[in-house]
Amino acid sequence: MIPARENFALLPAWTPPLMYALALLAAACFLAGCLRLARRIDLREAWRIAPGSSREKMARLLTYGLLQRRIASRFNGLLHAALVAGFVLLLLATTLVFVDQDLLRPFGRRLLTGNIYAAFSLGANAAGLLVVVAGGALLAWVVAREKPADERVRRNLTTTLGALLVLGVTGFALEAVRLALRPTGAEPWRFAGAWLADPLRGHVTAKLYTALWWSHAVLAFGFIAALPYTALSHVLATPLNIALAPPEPAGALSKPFDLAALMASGQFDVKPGIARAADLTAADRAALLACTSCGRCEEVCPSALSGASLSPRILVRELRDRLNGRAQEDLLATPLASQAWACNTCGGCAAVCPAHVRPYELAVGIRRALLAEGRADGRQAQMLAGLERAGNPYGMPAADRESLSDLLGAPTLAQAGQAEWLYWVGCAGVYDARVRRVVEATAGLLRRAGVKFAVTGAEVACCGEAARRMGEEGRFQMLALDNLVALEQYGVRRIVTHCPHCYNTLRNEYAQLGGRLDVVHHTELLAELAEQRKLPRSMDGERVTLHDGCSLGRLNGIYEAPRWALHSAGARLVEMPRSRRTALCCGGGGGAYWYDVERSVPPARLRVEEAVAMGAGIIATECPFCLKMLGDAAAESVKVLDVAELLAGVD
Amino acid sequence: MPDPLFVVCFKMCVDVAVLRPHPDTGEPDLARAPLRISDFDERAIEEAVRLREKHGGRVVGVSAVTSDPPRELLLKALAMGLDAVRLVTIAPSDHPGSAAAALAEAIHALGEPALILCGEGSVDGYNGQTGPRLAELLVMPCVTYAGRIEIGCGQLEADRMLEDRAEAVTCALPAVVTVGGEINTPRLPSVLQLMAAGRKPVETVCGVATATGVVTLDVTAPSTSRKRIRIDGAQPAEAAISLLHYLARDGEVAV
Repeated sequence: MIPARENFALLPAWTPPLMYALALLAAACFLAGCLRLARRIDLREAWRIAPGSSREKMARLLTYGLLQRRIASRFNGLLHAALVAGFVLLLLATTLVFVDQDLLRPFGRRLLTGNIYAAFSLGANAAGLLVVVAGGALLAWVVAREKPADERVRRNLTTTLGALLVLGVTGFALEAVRLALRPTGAEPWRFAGAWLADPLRGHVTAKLYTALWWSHAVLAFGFIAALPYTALSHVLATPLNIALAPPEPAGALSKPFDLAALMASGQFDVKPGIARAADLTAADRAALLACTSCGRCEEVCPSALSGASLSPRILVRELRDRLNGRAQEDLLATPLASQAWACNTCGGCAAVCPAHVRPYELAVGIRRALLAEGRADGRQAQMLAGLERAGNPYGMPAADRESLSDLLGAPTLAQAGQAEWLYWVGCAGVYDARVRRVVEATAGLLRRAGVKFAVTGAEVACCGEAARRMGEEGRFQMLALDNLVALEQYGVRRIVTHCPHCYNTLRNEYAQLGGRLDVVHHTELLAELAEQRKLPRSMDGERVTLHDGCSLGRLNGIYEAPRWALHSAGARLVEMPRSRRTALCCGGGGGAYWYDVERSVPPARLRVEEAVAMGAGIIATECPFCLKMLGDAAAESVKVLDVAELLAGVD
Repeated sequence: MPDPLFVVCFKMCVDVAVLRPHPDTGEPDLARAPLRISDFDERAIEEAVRLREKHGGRVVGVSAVTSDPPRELLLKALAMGLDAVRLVTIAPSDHPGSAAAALAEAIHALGEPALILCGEGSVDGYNGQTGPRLAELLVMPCVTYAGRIEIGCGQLEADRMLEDRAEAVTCALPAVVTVGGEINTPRLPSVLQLMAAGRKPVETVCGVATATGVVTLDVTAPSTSRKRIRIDGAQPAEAAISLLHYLARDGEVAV
């Protein structure tokens, strides 16, 4: 007959009252810590402004928080998931003991008896074993691989894991000693404890048991009390941020103010951006506290990989360190200012972060503050001045946009009056000779497929994407508002563009200013046309690798259209190790194309090397910035061509 | 000197960087070129604002205009740090000295400036006469092509950046100084700052009759027709001989 669980067995009579007292103390400490965290984030505000319904938040919490979907994508993350699973089960077990001992027993009822107790014992033992094995393996992995790379973080981690292991081991030790001293008959279910108990019989005393029990209790209470004050606070903060923040990087950046509203009100005393930690929103603060400094973002950041001063992890940590007491420190006078300029806003960090932090948004925040104080270097100022004077970042005459009409044999929007399709050529297509060849190829293919389109002339100016990413939100909104008026005037509804930056901004960001534009990338249209057999087979099995640009790929999820287009054209596609969602940025995004960032090797060179290693003779791009960056880095080693050029049979 | 008044003269003229000749006439296509604040004048504004940041006081911008200037340019000048702008309307004139008299009159009306700054020359005409003419009319010393300015105790110290040397000069204030490209990098106000500058005052006054006596007969872009001849594949020595042949054929060189 399986007995009931005997609580406080073998222990002196003063044990329960002292334990409860300590438990209360630990709980009070824990709650105080939670309140402190909640206040530091401004929890209510963070919850209020978080996007998505409560149901969506819960779904995120379940998938990424409990089931650890992104965390467990790596081996060490799998160990972490096992550790968490073990702890969750042990928490459940302790709760059941609490119910049994403190809620039911006073009323003469028991829960942990008979078969329930058997199952409970089995589960608890298995969970404890999971904690010890997974925890031990994780500790071994951390020490052997010397990861995370940051020494301070690693030391903290090994201490914590070590303490957790001690907790787990003492748990089994005391179970073993107890079973050795007083067998219960539930041994088969308490398999781990029972296995340890056999050799101990006759060698252990009740005094040893008491000592073990108390050391385990004190350690456990210590953990609970200290949790919100140490790195373990991520147990609370990380699931919170997982619930609040959508996991994918956003194509659209946040809108810090509404220029039209400000112009209407005549009040322009807005200070956009993050000049000091006090400027962070509640959502930002929740994200900062969720970061565990794991360093996965660093491993994919094109700036960190290319030797620039930026590390997204350190950016997050520096901001977090200033949340307490240093919130008024001027960030713009620190190295963070130059680090913020090194960001390519590629979203790689956000896509890989297990805690759903978005460091690139923080970098843009700092840039907004820098530009609000006019702190732009020569080339940045030149680019912004070009936008101001001529409506394009090249600073070249706006009237030159008209020249494409003759080149492509298509009317401009103004000439056509209106059109089914508007080919939004963007700025590079007009002012950069290399990119103009992509425009010619695209237009040729569209015409061949019978698509009637007008082309943008001087009715519109730059879409403003680079201005927004550099932090000059006012200039972006001015350009956007004027463009929207022009598009509205000509009744434009469907736009095709070969530039993913224009695509992302027109489609996702103009919506923040009232635009309702149906925007399609040229590879989507070309893929459709290829499927309708309106485009020729221009290739003959050449080995082509597609470089997934960040704006079209990671930020907008379009990976298959360009591949299908190339495949239909007869190319033999090979995939680079970092492709689709994990593609490495070429280093041209985030406005970085227009100014210099100090690096030891251009990210484009890293990317070209990756392509060459796959034996690809051609790198296909779907973005003019990628085309230029990779083309410059590739030199003679491999050809770099746009998808449209490959479909048009250009070599 | 307490509360000094700094005056900056600036010209809003055609943006020569985007100016193109008209395809048919060869004349500058002024209609399609936007206006901007002349490059050196931007630096003068920047320098004046820096002096105000260092010594206190006020900076007032003065500009001679023949028509209503674009609001964005005024906002730009104000957003850079001018406290106010005074526009002086004058009749259009080809005479390079036409602005100076109007500017001098406007400056008289402003009070007792400690220093008057302007660009060494405007980016469209580049006559470089306005500064010295102003100094003559206002009976003040004139320092041109300044690359560095310091003021204090009623004195001006400046480095004049000449072609082959830099000249350190000093004179008593008030004075007129013209500045060149090396003196500073003008700040770039954000769009929000531009909008906020709309609150600062802009006054328009009528100017005196302008100087006459100079008439522009003709302005045409030099024609650059390309020969479009390509010399392919030859060794450098052979290519050189080919090139000389073509040049001699067209009378460009005597061989």
